[in-house]
Amino acid sequence: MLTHIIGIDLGTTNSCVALVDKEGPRVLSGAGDKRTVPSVVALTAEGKCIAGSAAHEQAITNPENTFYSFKRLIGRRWNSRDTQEFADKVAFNVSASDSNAVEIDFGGKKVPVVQISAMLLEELKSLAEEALGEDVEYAVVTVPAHFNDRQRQATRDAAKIAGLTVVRIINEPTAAALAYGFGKKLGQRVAIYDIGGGTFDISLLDISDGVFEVLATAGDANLGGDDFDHRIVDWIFEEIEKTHGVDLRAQRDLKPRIKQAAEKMKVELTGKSESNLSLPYLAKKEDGTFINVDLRLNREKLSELVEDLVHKTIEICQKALDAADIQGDSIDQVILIGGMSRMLTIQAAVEDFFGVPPSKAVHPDEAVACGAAVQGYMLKEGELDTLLLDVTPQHLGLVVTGNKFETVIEKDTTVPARSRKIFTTTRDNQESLKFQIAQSSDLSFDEFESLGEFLLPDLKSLPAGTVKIEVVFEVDTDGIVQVSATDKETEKVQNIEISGPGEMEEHAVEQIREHNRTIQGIPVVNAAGEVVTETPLEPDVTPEEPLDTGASSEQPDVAEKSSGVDEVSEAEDSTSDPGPAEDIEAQP
Amino acid sequence: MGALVEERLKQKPKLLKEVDVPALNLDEEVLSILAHIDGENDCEKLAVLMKLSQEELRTKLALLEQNGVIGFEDVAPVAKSDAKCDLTPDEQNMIIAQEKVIAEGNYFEILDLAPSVRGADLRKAFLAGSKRFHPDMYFGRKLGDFRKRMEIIFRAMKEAHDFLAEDDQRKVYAKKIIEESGLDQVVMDEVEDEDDAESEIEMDPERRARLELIEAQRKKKDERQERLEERRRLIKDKRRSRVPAEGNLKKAKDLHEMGMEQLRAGDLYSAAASFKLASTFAPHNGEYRHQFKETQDKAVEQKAIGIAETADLDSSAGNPGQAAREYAQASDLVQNTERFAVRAAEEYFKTDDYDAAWFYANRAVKAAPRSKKSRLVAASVLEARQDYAGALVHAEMAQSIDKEDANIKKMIKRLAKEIR
Repeated sequence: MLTHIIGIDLGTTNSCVALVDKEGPRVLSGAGDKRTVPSVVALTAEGKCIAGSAAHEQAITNPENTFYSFKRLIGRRWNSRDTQEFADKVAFNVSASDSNAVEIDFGGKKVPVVQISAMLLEELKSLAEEALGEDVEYAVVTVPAHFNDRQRQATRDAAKIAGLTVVRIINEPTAAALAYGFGKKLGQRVAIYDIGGGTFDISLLDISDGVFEVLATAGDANLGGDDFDHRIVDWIFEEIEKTHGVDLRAQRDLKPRIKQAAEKMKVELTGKSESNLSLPYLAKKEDGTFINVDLRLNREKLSELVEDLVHKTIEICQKALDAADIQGDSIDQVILIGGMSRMLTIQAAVEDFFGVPPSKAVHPDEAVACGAAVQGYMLKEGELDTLLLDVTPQHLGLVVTGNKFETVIEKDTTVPARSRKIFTTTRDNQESLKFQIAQSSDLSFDEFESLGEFLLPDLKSLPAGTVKIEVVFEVDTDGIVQVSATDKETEKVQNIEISGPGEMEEHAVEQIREHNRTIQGIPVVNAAGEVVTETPLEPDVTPEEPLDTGASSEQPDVAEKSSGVDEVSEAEDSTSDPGPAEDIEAQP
Repeated sequence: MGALVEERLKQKPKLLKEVDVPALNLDEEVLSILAHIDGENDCEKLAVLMKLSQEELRTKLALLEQNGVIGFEDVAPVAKSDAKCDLTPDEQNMIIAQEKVIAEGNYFEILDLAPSVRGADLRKAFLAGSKRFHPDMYFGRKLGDFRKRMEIIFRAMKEAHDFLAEDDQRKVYAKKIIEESGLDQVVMDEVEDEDDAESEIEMDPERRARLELIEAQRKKKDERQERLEERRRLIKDKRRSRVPAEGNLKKAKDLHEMGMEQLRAGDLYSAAASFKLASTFAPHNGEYRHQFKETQDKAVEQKAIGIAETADLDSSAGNPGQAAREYAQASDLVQNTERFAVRAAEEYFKTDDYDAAWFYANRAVKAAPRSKKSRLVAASVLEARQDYAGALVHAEMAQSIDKEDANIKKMIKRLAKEIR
């Protein structure tokens, strides 16, 4: 039987670990009684790798080698607009990996984002172990509700590198609802408005008879505290330009200092109606004189700066209500979580929209970790008579003729889910059909992300549209997607399993683990790290220090495995080729 | 869970020959049960012989059956228990029993409910069922192939819940089930009376208070509305009861005559306009008003028929898109008849626009619930939308109108298969 299952809220700005035992949920706090840990990783001048508070504290003196907000990059493709926007905003350097994933310049070496994330997770793991006085192996980890399969998988991989087995990935708002409803007798519909450092999510749940049923989720992957901060940062630069006539935006090294100042002003304005900013000797002008900044920001001005951002979140709330097919007034309780939810402008807007004052029942920074721990406890203790009915995070389907996305399982479908659809050929005597499986967060934009593909060969020579292929999608409670296609004529079947725990090869994980353990001086990173992000594992790569004497005999095995990965990556590459994908169309 | 095992009381367990009993290391009591199994003693008798309660015997026999030691007459032995599964025999039996219900039962039976169930009880049953069959409730245990089997059960329960959660749908379905099963009228009435009696078991007090407030406000609003209407009616009646001035009467009479003439000439729209004017000059004259209404309806119908004729041409010219839009226009003009709606649904169906087709098919069914044609259209559209359960309801209604139609029979068979 499993020992403890901890709950981890892996946040953009701050992270938190919690555990539930017979006495209920509690946060596992580290030294100095800090209940949350800054989501920061750094490489010190001495070449030491640090994470959490220590990394946060040295951020100002070491901006180029301090890494924050990397959750925004996890599981993302390099050439996406979001990645590019983010790259412009941060002080450290990011670049593309061979497989179009994102790598971070870590003291001159390129390191995949999962590896950075793993360093933070390792810190959280050891914090939990310290607090509990025993080893921790299992965890429930939370992600934003809008995270796609790739991002969830990358999060799992990061935990695996850190030596944790993820028993379940759940959505942050869902976790908050669990924290709120656990141990209470409720019959309520709740809305969880989650605005954190980098992301916004809204989830609607029905809680009754101990069952937490997710009704709908909606969110924006790039709307959070950072955006609010950047509004203030922009305003500060503007004001400096106004008074001093210099544009300091191009000076990268100033960014962390200004960002921290902006953050401080934002926090101050939740308690006070006005906040002062004083940044003496911020920079040198060309004539040698110093620029001293003194600014004043009040609540009204702040509300004005972020008004459209707040409005955007409310629109997304409406979207969630529409998806669940319920009215705003049928929501009994609204729960605000995430650091940004302290902002009064946001609280007022939410109350206005739902007509209920936000609940103060849960702690905005700790509820998610506690909820994750609750889910771990619910799973572990079978006798609690409580259950979470979770949903699919995105639309799942196939890419058909004209590079269009055809949904098979809709977003917000309760898991375990299963759905089937009939597809057919578009050319006469077509010999094979390529099935490209994809996910989409928003059908209205006709955007989708490929998850994998497979070929159904040896079709009978028949006119277009007469070959009937039944495609079945299944998603289980672990989020594993299975797709099978059956040729109704020949009864031939092809299957593919898209994702799930243990996706990353054990060997590759061990290599990265070893590296993270031995990081001293310039971190050792090689192509093995990229396996995580789906590039081929090169056979000539072996760990710098052999793990055991059997390491060399394992080598042929590595080569063999690598060819398997190769095929996957080949298939990945060819997804940009719309050729064979044209040959398929949905049929009613 | 008991049901499946209970029916075995009268069954006779048999030893399965290929089993190597000594290798199983069974305890003495179980061995002595085995000694009494001679193919003649039924379960009830065995319990008496062994001085065991039926419950105890049942557990022991279930274990033996799962290990492939014994089998029951006419009942295929349960699949040999999976080494990868550590569910208890009771849990396995519960799952097997539920699988049987799902294979054979209707939506109500799947959730263990009576057809007269109300909204809140339905949800309760679904939640209780989820807690029994959702694989997460057995987390950390080896489930073997029972994982997939539980997933199938859970999805079936979810489907049943979602289907029955729609009040109108549930009532139609319940009626069908009751008719089939020959239950008495009382149950039927219960289904129908249920309307506003949504039960409020264990509702959050805050929520109930809010709902009550909303309800009170709505009532107030309704009352206000009623008073307003009453006043309007009074004013109207007064106006009507007052005999108008001589001049107006004359005008009204002239207008009416003009209307009659226009009517004879076939200009229904102008005729309707004239009758309306006549009615305003002589509001007390019910005849004028009646004639206005009648003529107006006829005029609209005529227009709709004209549009439908164009649609007929488009349809036979092989242009279903155009035809569908025209039939839809006609149906929008005259909504309370099935004929345009059915045609609109049929044409939209041809263009694969099943959403639009369903809209009009639904209208056709509402206008003519006892029409085979509208039921068939509705069934076909729903089938195309893969709502097989919904389609089945309509197909069976169609069959109740025409019992001989072979096509309907085929369709029902097909749908039943799909649902399974």
